[in-house]
Amino acid sequence: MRWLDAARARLRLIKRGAAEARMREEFDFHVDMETERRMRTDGLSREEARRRALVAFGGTERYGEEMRDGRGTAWLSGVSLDLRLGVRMLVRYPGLAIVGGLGLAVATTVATVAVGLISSMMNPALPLPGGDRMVMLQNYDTQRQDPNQSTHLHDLETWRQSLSSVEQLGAFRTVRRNLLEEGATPELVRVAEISPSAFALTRTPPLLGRPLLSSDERAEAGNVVVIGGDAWQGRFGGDPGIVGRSIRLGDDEFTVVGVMPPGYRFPVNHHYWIPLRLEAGAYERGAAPPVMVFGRLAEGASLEGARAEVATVRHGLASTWPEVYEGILPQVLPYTYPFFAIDKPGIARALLLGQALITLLLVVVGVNVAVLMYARTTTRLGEITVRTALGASRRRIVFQLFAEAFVLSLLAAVIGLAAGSAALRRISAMMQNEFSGEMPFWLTPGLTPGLALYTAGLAVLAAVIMGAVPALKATGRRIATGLRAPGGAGAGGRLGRTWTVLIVGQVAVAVAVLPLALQGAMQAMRYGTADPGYEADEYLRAFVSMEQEASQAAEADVPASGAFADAASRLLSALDRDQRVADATFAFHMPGKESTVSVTAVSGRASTDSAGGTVWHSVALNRIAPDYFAAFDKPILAGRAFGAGDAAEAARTAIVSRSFADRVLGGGDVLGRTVRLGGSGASADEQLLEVVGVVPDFPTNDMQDQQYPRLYRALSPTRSFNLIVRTRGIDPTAYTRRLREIAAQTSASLVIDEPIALDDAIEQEQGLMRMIALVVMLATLSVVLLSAAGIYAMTSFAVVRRRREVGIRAALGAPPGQLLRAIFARTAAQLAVGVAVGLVLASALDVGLEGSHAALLPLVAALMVAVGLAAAAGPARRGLRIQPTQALREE
Amino acid sequence: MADRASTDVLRGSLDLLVLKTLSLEPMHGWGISQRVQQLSDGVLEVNQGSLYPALQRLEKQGLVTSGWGRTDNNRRARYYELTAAGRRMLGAEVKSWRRFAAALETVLRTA
Repeated sequence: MRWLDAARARLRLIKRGAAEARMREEFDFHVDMETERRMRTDGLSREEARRRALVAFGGTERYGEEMRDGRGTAWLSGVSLDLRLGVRMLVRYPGLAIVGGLGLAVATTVATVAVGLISSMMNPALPLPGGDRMVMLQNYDTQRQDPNQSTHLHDLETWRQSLSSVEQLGAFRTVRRNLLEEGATPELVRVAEISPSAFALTRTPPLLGRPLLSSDERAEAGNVVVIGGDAWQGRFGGDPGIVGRSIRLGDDEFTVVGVMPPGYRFPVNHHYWIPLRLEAGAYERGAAPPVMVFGRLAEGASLEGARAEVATVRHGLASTWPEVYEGILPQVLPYTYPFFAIDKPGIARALLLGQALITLLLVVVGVNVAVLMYARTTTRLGEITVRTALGASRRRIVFQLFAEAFVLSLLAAVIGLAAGSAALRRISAMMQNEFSGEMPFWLTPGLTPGLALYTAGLAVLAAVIMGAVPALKATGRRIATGLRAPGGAGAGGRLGRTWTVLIVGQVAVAVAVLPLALQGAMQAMRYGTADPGYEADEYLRAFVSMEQEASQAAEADVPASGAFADAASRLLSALDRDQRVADATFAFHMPGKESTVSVTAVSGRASTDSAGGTVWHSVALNRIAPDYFAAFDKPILAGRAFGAGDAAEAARTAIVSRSFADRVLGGGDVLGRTVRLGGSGASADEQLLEVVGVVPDFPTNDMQDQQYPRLYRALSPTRSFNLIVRTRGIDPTAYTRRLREIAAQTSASLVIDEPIALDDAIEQEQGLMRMIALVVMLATLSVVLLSAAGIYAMTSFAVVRRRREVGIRAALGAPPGQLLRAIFARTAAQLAVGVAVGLVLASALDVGLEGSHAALLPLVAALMVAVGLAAAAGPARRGLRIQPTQALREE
Repeated sequence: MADRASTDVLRGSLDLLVLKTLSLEPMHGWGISQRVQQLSDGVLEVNQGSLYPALQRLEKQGLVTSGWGRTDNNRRARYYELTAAGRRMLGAEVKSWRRFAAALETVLRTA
């Protein structure tokens, strides 16, 4: 009903405008008539007559104001006055504005980003006609904790036959094909092999031609493809004769039969659709290639009803094929959920909880700022008291303080919203990279009206906590007390205990969390700025594999080794012949992206610890081409590089990095030594590797504090790999096109995926790391500032409360040192307790308290004490400056 | 001070005067002010503007209604008219005023 409220508000505004206009016209009429009368009867000039008429009227503004009051719109000018006052207060108390504003802005930014992301992920509806009724059906394998491998064509058929609560059932899977055309750069496209029912399900008619039909599904029908409007415009120049034209995907010719409207990218982010021609009959139950199954809830059917029906169907299946459906849990989910693995109620709940917790973060910050505001409010008790005495209602005063807080929180919300939407844009771009073109089309994290409304709500919530609550408290029962002592000095007395707890808690949390945060930020920053140790701007990387169809023919996870090895070898030699290629090598992982394994030295000093147990080391393992090191300009320090024989399955050779030799093998001459790989599966013999060479450590931009030891084994191009091309005299990104052409000439079904210049890839990752570092730093800074401000306010209050005492003691000749000690004692005690609790918390949080983290603890503790004492110094100095006579007079 | 006193008296009885004036015929604001002055032989003279908040008040209470009309020389003006409630109120107020005035008169005469 939001629109209704908005309409009402607008109506009120129009009415107000109309009343104002009516009043003006009436006044004008009156003055005109009076002017004419005076001209007529008194014989005056028009100017003089008008002047006298206005005098007789008594001031149009005055009566206008009186009428506005009568209409009940006077509060509006009151609001604007309150807001103006709020702005003035911000300027008058810049410390509070900066500290509170920063804290709120950081919290709002975090909340905006998190809620923006979570809500766009959790939005269950597709932006398509009837998108809220679309569902996905999947078999969740409870043993493998995996929903992706256990939904097959057989299930689709069963569901089609037996479900009445879900209609228009269909399935799809994504295959990658090379779009090849004479005279155009080969392009790797993601093609949806999909049931024709998808087009009826999405209720979107084609722009040209026809959608896929169920007759297209038959194996004997010709190859047909429907293309998306974006691809039609972008790739085919909007060719009006596209329908009927033939295009080539890999080794196959397809006839274009239809074009969908631009923006249509169902089921995930697809621009090409071909019929799904899997024959369930060709496979055993449970052994067909996995697919994703979609459908629409039937008229009147609920998600719960569909779930119950699917569960019943599963029961029947399990009795016929118990071994296939053992541990299988069929699920009916809102269409968008499986793509973010929201396939268990717990996950959805966790996401919602996350949203709530993040909102709570703002509440915590708000409470902190509220404490500071409260301090200011109580210093203004005198003013409030006088206003009350002059007849201001409590509501009026509370609203004034709310408005003042609202100015601050609104400012923070605007900053937070701007920063948050910038961050969301950045994250969205990074996600595009991460999904590499497969980002679900409905996922568009960014600034939405809903998000803006949420942030505005946060601002109001924060203002209520910061302004209205302290105001209610301050105006509650102390007004009478305040009237007796309008200086406000007596008012702060009772905040003591709550406040002490807050300050102690704040210091404790800061001490406990700051080392972790600092360490995290430092590590992120170090990684975000680290040099990889090679000329990253000279390399192009791409993932090389075969089109999925080829791999399915082999019915195995790895591509058909013969065909792929042949094509890959020809690709590598073609690249070697290219003048613009300095080196072309390959590896299973990219440098720095190796998987970790545990190893132990079989022969040598470091194999056992003092107790005689086996010492396992965590190391990074990569499988590489023989010329891998040469391509990165890394010399062989000892022993030899890999040869052709090392890549054979039977070969048990390894090359290790310098740090591996030192740390795992204990240094010295390590050639010929043996290491054992951890993990199960392989026989004891297969786990043993002989070291044949030593290379320098690289890359040098590891996430870890120290260099990861690296272990290398040889790889032959029999399975998909990362191709690494070092270009000569040409920008690596510019070489992408040529690489695709060479690959297409080598084999139509060789897939060149995600090509990217290495320095761009590194920059993407490092950029993210730097952003994380920045966010952590900002959050940390706001915690420190808030703590410092809290301590400042507290100490300042203590001193104000003790003005008289300090003054008298100074008059009696107490030395300043002693007075300072008295002032500092309380602060110091709070800081000490806070730091102590913080240290306990820190050791509880961080089990090990190892290395640099432990060293940071006392540093952070010292920092908090320093901040606290510095914050106390100002008020303490002011305390000393109190004149004894002044202190006494205040009685 | 004399002016001030007459203003205060008028303020309290302004509503009554307006109601009385409107009981004769519907009239616009300026007309009401002229009529009040005319009927009271110029004794009751206040800021004419104060008439409008009074009219607004009476309208809010449902004692008068208003609408746009045309003057003799074809100018657009807002005309006020007494409602039935206004007529009843006028009757009650007039009675009450007469009682008050009579009481005051009695007091003044005996004193």
